Amino acid sequence: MVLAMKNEALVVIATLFTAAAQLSFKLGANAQGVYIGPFPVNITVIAGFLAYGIAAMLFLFALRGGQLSVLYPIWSLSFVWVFLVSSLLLKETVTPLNWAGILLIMAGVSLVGRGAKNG
Amino acid sequence: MADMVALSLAIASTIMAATGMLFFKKAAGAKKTFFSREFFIGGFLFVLGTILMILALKREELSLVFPITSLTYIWVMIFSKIHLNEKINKWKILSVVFIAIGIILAVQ
Repeated sequence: MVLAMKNEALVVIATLFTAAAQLSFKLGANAQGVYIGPFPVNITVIAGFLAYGIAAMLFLFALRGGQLSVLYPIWSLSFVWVFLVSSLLLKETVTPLNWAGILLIMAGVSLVGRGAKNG
Repeated sequence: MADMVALSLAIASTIMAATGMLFFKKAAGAKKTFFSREFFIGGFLFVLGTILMILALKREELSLVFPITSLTYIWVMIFSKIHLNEKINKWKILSVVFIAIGIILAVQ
């Protein structure tokens, strides 16, 4: 099933995992629990590392058949997901300029798909 | 005046990350991808790049450091052309420009 998906779609899914990982780290960074020196060792942080691992695996599968210069720009979506969660769910302050930037990133990612078709 | 050490760390980080991605692409083409030398080199460079970026962020504002990550997309494009023989067309260039400007605006 993984192999049947388009390479670009695999990377988009990978960005969701990376975003989840970053949010896990944010939540787990100061959580209660075990610490090794300054580093927290809790289920949230561990889940974050697992999510990163899955993202890396999906990216490597995608790279087998896809071009790096087409697939890598899609990673900027990870930033978009984290931004959306931060602004909408965590209610962090954002400006219209920030939103414009997010839209530009999304526009850029959709353009790269065209770049794939034209060689 | 922005912290020049922080900016240098950030720029170095982007070069490492991009080189790591290049090795990942090579690893993808290798037999036993996840045990290949290219995978470990790529992973190492990526992790090192991330550490440098974290160090940069400790010294300087996110709104100044983070836009530098846009450079990674430019390096990847250049490395892909030189080392992977991937064709660069106007859509790829435009997408990287949009993404770079988008990142800069998103953190202001």
